[in-house]
Amino acid sequence: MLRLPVLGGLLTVLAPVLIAASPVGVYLEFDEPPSEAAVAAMRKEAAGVLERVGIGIAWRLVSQNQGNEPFERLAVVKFTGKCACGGFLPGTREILVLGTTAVVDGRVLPYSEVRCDAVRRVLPDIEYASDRRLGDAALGRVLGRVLAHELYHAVLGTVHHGASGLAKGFQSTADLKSDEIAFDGGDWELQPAPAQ
Amino acid sequence: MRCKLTRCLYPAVALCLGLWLPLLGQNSRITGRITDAAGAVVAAAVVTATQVDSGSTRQVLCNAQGYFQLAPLPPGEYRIEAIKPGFKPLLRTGVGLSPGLTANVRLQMDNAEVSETVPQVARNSDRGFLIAYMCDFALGSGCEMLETVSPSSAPGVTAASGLLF
Repeated sequence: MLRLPVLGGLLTVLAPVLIAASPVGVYLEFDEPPSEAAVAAMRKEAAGVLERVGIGIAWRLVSQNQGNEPFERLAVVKFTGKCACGGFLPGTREILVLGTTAVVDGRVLPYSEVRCDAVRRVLPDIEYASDRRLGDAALGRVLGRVLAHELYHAVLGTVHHGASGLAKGFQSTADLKSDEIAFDGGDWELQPAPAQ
Repeated sequence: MRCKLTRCLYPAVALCLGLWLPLLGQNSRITGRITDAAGAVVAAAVVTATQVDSGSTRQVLCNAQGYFQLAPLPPGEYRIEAIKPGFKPLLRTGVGLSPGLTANVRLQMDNAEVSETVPQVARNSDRGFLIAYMCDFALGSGCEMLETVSPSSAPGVTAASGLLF
């Protein structure tokens, strides 16, 4: 008999804690229709990496945004190029920009860009995977890591790069494809940028 | 039967009160629309409402027609900020929100001259270099490579004014 009132009381007490841990709203926008397998793998990878540093993600699409869903924090991420293995982009050993986050007057804005074509070009073994579905999943995993890196800038409002791990500004393909890559312990201990 | 009703009803009422009492004071809202100096719609701008007293913030992404709604919000005084790359951040202070009422704000954003980006770079090799880029979203000129730096000599970091690694 006491279970429901106790539950109600507990929820009331825990409400501020639950609100404080509210997820970051991440709005995705794609230049071209992406591979569903790639997007699923990307979300899984990014969510897993960020969950380990205590950040929850609420995934949304810019195209479905009604302008009426508030979050404590949100970020907008645009994916340029084609986010699917095509088997035609030439590989490169050049240094390519995989993702960026906008800065205006020294202030980091919650707007990032992930360059799918650039990721495909630095990972030709994925681009030319014989099994397209597996290739898309592998591509999505890497895109999730690039996305997590950009969200580090966008959510914390920082231009800082770490010396190792996912907060590093430079990643080798070995880093990007490694079994395990994560943020270092102190990376997310920076305080989120206060609203102006 | 009566006994059963009592046993069910009281806990249910307690649960509802427990869940909703904290929200009763948060029935106000802020709505608005964002345009540029020419009156054209500014879509997908991030709007932040900060309650001055508590410092608590809520953010919303305005829709394709530039409209946004922040609700529910507790009454009080707010400052509203709209940001989007390519535009100067816009701050509106002294927005009062009375209990149960809606404050409607019209925001006009001005074009920014320059914005930069923080890039993440990669190379198809285990060895590599950091590269400094400066990008210009507003002018649409893309990213220009400024210099290369050995990662061993520049571990970590860094941004100084205008120069982002």
